[in-house]
This record gives sequence, C-alpha cells and structure tokens, in this order.
Amino acid sequence: MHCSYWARVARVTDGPGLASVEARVCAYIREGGDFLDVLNAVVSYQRRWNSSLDRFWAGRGFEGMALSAAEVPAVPTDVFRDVKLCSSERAAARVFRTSGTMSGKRGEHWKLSTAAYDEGAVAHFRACVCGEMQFESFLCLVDDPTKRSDSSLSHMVGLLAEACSRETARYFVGDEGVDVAGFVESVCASDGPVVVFATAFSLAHVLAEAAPMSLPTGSIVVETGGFKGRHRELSEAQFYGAICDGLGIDVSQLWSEYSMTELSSQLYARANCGGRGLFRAPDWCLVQACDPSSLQVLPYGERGLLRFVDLANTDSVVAVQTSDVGVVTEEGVRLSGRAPGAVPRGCSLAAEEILSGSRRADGES
Amino acid sequence: MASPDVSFLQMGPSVDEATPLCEGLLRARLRELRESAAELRGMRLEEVAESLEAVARLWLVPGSHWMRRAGVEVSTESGLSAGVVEEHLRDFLSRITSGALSSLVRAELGSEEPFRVRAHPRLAASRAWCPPALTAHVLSSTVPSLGMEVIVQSLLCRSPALVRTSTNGRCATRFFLLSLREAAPRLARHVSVVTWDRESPFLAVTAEFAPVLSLWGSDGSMESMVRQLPATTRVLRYGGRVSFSVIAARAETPEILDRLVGGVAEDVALLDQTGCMSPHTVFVLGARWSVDEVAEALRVASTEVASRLPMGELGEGEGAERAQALGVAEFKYRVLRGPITSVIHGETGFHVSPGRRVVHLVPCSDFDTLIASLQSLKYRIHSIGLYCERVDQSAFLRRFSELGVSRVCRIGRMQRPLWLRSHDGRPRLADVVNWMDVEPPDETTS
Repeated sequence: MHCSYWARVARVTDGPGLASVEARVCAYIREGGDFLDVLNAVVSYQRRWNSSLDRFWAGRGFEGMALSAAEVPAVPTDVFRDVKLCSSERAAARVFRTSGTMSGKRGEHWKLSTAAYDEGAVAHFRACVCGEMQFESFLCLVDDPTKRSDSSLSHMVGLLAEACSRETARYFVGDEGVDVAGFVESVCASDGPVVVFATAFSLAHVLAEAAPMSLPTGSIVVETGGFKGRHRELSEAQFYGAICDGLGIDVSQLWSEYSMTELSSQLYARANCGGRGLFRAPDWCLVQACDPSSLQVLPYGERGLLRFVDLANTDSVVAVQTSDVGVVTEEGVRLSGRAPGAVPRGCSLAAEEILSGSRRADGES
Repeated sequence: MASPDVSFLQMGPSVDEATPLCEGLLRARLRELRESAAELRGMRLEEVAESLEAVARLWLVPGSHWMRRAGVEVSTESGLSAGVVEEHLRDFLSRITSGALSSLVRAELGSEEPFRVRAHPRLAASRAWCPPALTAHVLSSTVPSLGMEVIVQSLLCRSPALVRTSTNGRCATRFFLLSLREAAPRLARHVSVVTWDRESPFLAVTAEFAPVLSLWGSDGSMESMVRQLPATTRVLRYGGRVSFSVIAARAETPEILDRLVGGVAEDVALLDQTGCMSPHTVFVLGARWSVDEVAEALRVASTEVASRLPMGELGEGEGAERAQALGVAEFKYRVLRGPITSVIHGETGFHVSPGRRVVHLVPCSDFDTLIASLQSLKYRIHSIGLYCERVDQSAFLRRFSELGVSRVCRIGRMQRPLWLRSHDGRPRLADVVNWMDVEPPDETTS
C-alpha cells in the first residue's frame, strides 16, 4: 500500500492567482501547447507577486512580455542563498535547500506549491526513462524524504517511487551514512525489476564496500551528480563501467539525472560506454547556453553557461542562470560540468581572502 | 614531476623553443645563474641602465613586433584586451629610462655599485650593499608588467634572476627576456624565466640556490610555499592587497565630477580590475555629489574609456562568477549597468568587486565614518585614489598612514604608479640586497 506522500505535499497553498497559473503549467505538462503563452502567464504572475524579482527584471530592461524565452533575464543561482524568492509571504508548502557543499551557505528554493514540480517530475521520468512500466521497488541511495524534507532530490525520488513502483521505496542513506549491508540485502531479496536511484557518491561507496551483485532483469540504475565538493578519482566512463560491473547491469540500463535545487525539472541522459550521453530536458523546461561575457543566448551547438527557463518553477523564478557549462543542440544537452573556478588573474586574487580573514580576526578579537 | 605542458625553462632563442622543465635542468640552470653572479656584479650601473632602456625602446618604437606580439598573445593568455595590454605595457616601459633607473639605485642604495663602503652623512657607521648571488621571484600574477619589473629590479641590484611566472601570465615576461637577448645579450645571460605547477618540487630546488626569494600571491598560497623553504632563505612576501578610491569634495568644490569619474573609469578599465592597485569601491564623501550622480557620470565616462580600452573576453569560470555576483548585487543593491557597471550602496563599507569593470559606489557622511569602516582592512590596503581639498589633505594622509596604506595617488593614476615607488610600502631595491654595516676600525690598525 502506498503512503500518501505525494498527496501530502502537493497541495496548493493558495498563493494569490497561483492556482490558475499552475493549472496552465500542469496542462502544458500534460498536453503541450504554446510555450511562450504559458511562460508569459508565469512571468506575469511572478512579476505581480514577487517584487524583488520584478525589480531585478525591470533593472535588466525586461518589462514582462517576452517575445522569446531568451528575453527573460535569468536569476543566478547564488541569489537563492541571499534572497527569499517566493511569490507570497504566506507559508511555503516546501522549502528545498541546497547542500551548501560548494559555498558553505545553503540556498533556499521556496515553493508555495509543488503541484507542477510533482506532475512534471513523474511525467518526464516516464517519458524519458521507463514509460509506463511499474517496477517492483525503488532502492534509493538518497535520504528518506520523510526525514530530509528540505531535499529536493529526496522529494523527487519519493514521487517517482510512489508513481512507478508497486512497493514502498526503501532508503539506504541516513545520518549514519550509507547502509551498504541493507542495500545489498534488498537487492538480493528482489525478484522483480527495481530502480536504483543514487547519488554518484553513495554509489561509489556501495561499489567500494560490497561484492559485485546482479540486479534483477529489467532493473535500471539512475545516477545523479553527487560528487559536488568531493574529489573525483575516476573518470566518468570508468565510473559507469564500475557501476555496470558492480551491479550486474548493461550500460543501456544506466541513466544519469541532472537537476538542481533551484530548478523544478529534471534532465535525463542514457549512459554509454564513453560516459553520459545527451541530456533530454522536458518540453516545459527550455535549456539555453549563453555567452560568459554578455550572457546573451548562443545558437545551438555553441558551448556556454547554461540557463533554464523552467515553467515548473511557477511560483519562484522561471528563469535560472547556472554556473554549469554545456552545449545545447536540437537533440539534447551535452553537459561539461561546473564552470571551473575563475582562473586567478592579476594580483588582486586574494581580495575575498583578505576580507574573510579580516572578518575572522574581528570575530576572534 | 609536473606535466611538461605547463613547466618549462625559457632557454632557447625563441619562445617556441622553451624547454620542458625537469629537476636536473633546473639545477643546472640555477648553478649557471649563480656562477654568472660575479660577472653581473662587475657591470657598471650605467651599462645596466642603458641596456634596459634599450630594451624598452625596442618595445616602444612604433610598429614594434614585441608590442604587437604581446598585444595578441598576452591578451589571449590574460583575458585582457589587446588595447589594455598595450596601454599597460607602454605605460610601464616608458618609465624605464636610464636616468630614472640610475636615480632609483642612487635613492635606495646610495652608491651605484655594490661593495662600496659609503659613509652615512650623519652617523659614525658606514654601509655597503651586496647583491644576492641569485634572486628568485615566484609570481602568481597575470599583470603583464610584473615579470618585467622584477627582472629590472634584480638586474639593477646586480643579482641574477630566476622568474617563475604563473601558467596564465608568462608571455609578457618571456617576451621581455627575449627582447633583452636582442638588445642586451650580456644582461640576458643572467636571467631565466620558468613556469611550474604549484604542486611541483621546483620551489624547494630553487631555494637551495637562491638566498633571496620574492613570493607573490594570496596569503594562503604563500604560507604553503614558505613551509617548503629553508630557514636561511630570505623571503620577501607580496601578499594580496586591495585598493579603492575616495572622492571627498566640499560644498565649494568646483564642478569637476566629469573629470574625476573619467579618472575612476581609467583606473577601473586599465587591467580590468585584475591588479592589486585596481579600485573595488569608490567612497563618495559629503553631500557635494550623491552616489547616484557619480554613477550616472561614470556611466557616461565609461563609454569613452571602453572605446579606448575595451574589456577583454571572460572565460567560463570568470563569466560565471561575475554573473552570479552581479545577480546577487542586483537583488541586494541598485545596479547601473554600462561599460563600467556601478553597484550603488546605501551604507558605508568596503566591498570587493567581482572584477571586470564592476565598481561599488558607497556614500559616506564624513571622514571619521570612512576610517571606521576601513579598520578591518588595516595593513591590507595597497592604493587609494584620492580627491580631496588641499585643506583636508594632511589629515587624510595621516589617518591613511595609520591604516598601513602603501600608496596614495590621484584618481586616474591608480594603475600608473611612478617607477620610483615602493611596493606594499617597501623599497624595491633596498629590500633585495644584503646590507653590511661597517663601523669605524680600531684606531690602532695601520
């Protein structure tokens, strides 16, 4: 029997006008339609109820009617660390928080409702990865969403498990770390196809500690980038090879997921022998590469910083500027990872260090 | 062993013939440099200074292939535009004249030649300076002229020089060495340019041969470098510093805002705020002009400056960091975008710029408030571009000096220091050489 996890969290909490705009986004997720039309409805809603976002857009000369998605100025992800980006002062249904591994300060994604998020997450997972298949179970090497309610990854995995498996999902990551023995035991006990949804970090842990095993026929593994802030010793291709060997699957059963706390949509790529393939974004999340200097959107095929126009960010920020680098083509997105830390230039490279040092010293005195 | 694509020793006759670096090669070259010290010590100041001037002329002559090449290759490497690179190098090299260099030696070292015991005019003791057998300079800067500057510094001290450049700041120094070979081969024998990875063992090897090391970089990287050095190595540290401008007008100050912000624009644009002398913040004191007026005037002035000194292309990492920082600023403060982007603040405080032509404009009611807001930067301030009325000047300078400020200059001159300047408040030559005090001999000696 499924727990009603999805039903508990998906309730619309009555942001002014949110229900109608969210209904339009959900309809677009289900049936498609005019992207620009829905985008302008979301923009109009966000402009009306999020004054700081409205000021940001006005400062960039955007008055609220986009003739193309490229016209909507994207909010950099770092802003989520400093500013509450929400279209109402009312209590949020959810606040997703970043891990803070890269900067130490956690970003927050406030959501009055997760309805569009939830509908989109399941729809794209089905469209991209598994179709209408029902798995026996989800074996999740991520935190349990009932224990880590601020993790967007856990939330999403919980949704997918509820929608795509017959049994309740099992989680093997907690405060004590990765429960490798429990995971192995569950794999051995499975007699139908399962989904192993895991951060790369947790998977690496399992592969290092457990003997090779074989997932039941028809199982899949979905890996998501969990190496942030940690040293990566294996190349992507080596790592994928190790997953296939360790879990007894063919590379065609291995998928990679890409998203971030600041987004409400996910991208999936099928693995191949060389590593990750092209990531496919859902129709309601437009991915664009932009020039690092001007932030102007680049034509297909050119490498740049990635920005996302994500309709499922209905009540927060519809356009998000990331520091990730990639190439967008008609077939999908080739990710190249996080832009390298700015190459130290000049001799003022220690300015931030000076300030942080001074602040530390002030605090200590 | 560091990978050969980033570690090399500049020995061949052209840049393209740089040799992959290995420990044996480095040791051999360091030995050669040390052995050449006696010859360099014997060279007269006049010859050294004139040779260096001849090199500078090679660069400054119209159509100079060195300048043209630097414009292209240094630009690619540093991310600065060719226009900025050439202007920066022209400004630096135009100050390398025989007269200026000789004056510098006389001002800092007293006698023109080493080992000359020179009586102090008012003290009983005399002193003589002695060149180190080898000076090594470990740079982590991309400021194109810095490698040239330390070469000139060492040669004026008659000390052979090994210059380690950063991997993304090596072209200008290599080109300078090659032009030195062209114009003054005798001097060039005493210089080597190398590049190595931070993780390589080459620093410790260098320290075995060089009694004096100048280290440039962040405090963190210098700490880790110093740990690799023997206790006997004399280390000259040039750590991270920040700079800012102060516009302190009074009610009666004439309408010179356009001129002042033209200077600010020049200070920001030259080197795209990658230098320690680049202003991060402009403090606007008093009520003569509001920060909004300054921002608007700066936007206008920056258009002219940008046409003369265009901004360089940003790499992915730099572009991402700038976009994130500017985005945060747009939510927290007011931002006026332009060829130079102003972040307009409401409260007094120093702010670090994300670089590449973003400057913080900060209001300040009075001078005491300004000084109070700068206490956390004590001994960390390199340059202050200052405009104030003459009547306020001495009070300003005294308070800045108490903060350990290295340099105060006119707005618009922050990136164009006088050659005879000290760096980080320390003398350029007198810090490098060894000093020997000679007290009067026993009167009974014959």
